[in-house]
Amino acid sequence: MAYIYPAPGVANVECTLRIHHTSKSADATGLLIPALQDITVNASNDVFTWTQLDEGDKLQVATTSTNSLAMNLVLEQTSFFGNSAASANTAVKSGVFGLSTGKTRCEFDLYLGDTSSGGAGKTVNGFGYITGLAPTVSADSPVWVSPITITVDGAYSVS
Amino acid sequence: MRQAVIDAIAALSLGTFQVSESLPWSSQGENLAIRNFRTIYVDEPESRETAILNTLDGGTGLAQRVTEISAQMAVDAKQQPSNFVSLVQSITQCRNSADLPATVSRECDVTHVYQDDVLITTFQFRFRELVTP
Repeated sequence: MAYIYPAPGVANVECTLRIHHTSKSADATGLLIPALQDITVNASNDVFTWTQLDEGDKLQVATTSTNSLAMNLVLEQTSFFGNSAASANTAVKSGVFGLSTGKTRCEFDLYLGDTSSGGAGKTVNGFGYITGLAPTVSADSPVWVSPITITVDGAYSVS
Repeated sequence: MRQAVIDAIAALSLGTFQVSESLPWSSQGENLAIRNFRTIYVDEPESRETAILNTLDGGTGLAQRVTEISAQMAVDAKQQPSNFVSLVQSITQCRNSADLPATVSRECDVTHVYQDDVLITTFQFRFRELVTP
C-alpha cells in the first residue's frame, strides 16, 4: 500500500501547486502558490438518465465532466498581487489576482505529495482559469484569506 | 512589553499610589504589594504560541502569541483611597498604550481579593499578536 501522504513543510514531499501563465512552454518557472490551506480536486461527471418501458430501473450514461480545483489560501502579498519586477507574461508578474482579473488561461501542476512508503507522488496537470477569489478579513480573523478555484479547461492528465 | 506597561501606568495621575520597577517577589509568604500599600508591581510577561492558520507548505502558516502580564497592588480595605476606583479604570486603559507593540487584541481583567483587612487588586493584561514566518 502506498497512501498519498504529503508532509506539510517538508520540501519535495509536501503538496504543491504551481501555476504557469498560458503554458509551461511560455512560462517555464511559473508561480508556486504559497500558504495553501487545503485543496480539493473536483472531477464531476454529468450523467444522462433515461427510462424505458422494458426496464424497471433507470439507465444512465456518463457524459462530460466538469473539472476544477478548489482551495483556500492565506494571502501573501507578492504572490497574490504579483511581482512588478518580474518578466512580462509570467505568473510571477501577474500574481494570482492578476491571472484572475486578466482571465488568463493557465497551466497548473498539482503535486499531491509523496507516498507513505517514501516514493515520489503523482502530479495532476491541466489548463484552466483562476476564479472564485473572495479575500476576506475580520477583527476576529485578522489575516486575509481567500477561496480560489481553478476551473479546468478540458481534462486532467496525471503523470 | 513589561516596561511599556510600567511606563503607561507611571504616566497616569497616580495620586498617593506609585509604580515600582521591582518584580512582585514575596518573602516569608508575604508579597511586596502587601508590604507596600499603594505600590503597583508589574510581573514578568508569560506567553504561549499556538498555530491558527496551518498551511500545506508548513513554514508559511500563522501563529498567535498570547502574552499575559499581571500587575498587583494592595490597599487598606478599611480606608480605601479616594482615587481607587478611577485609578483602577485608568490602569485598565493602559492596555491601549501606544508604547505597546502592535497587537490584534488587548484585554485586561481586574480581580479583587481580600486578605484579612487588605484589598489586593490584580490586573491581568492579555495581548494577542500574530506571528508570521
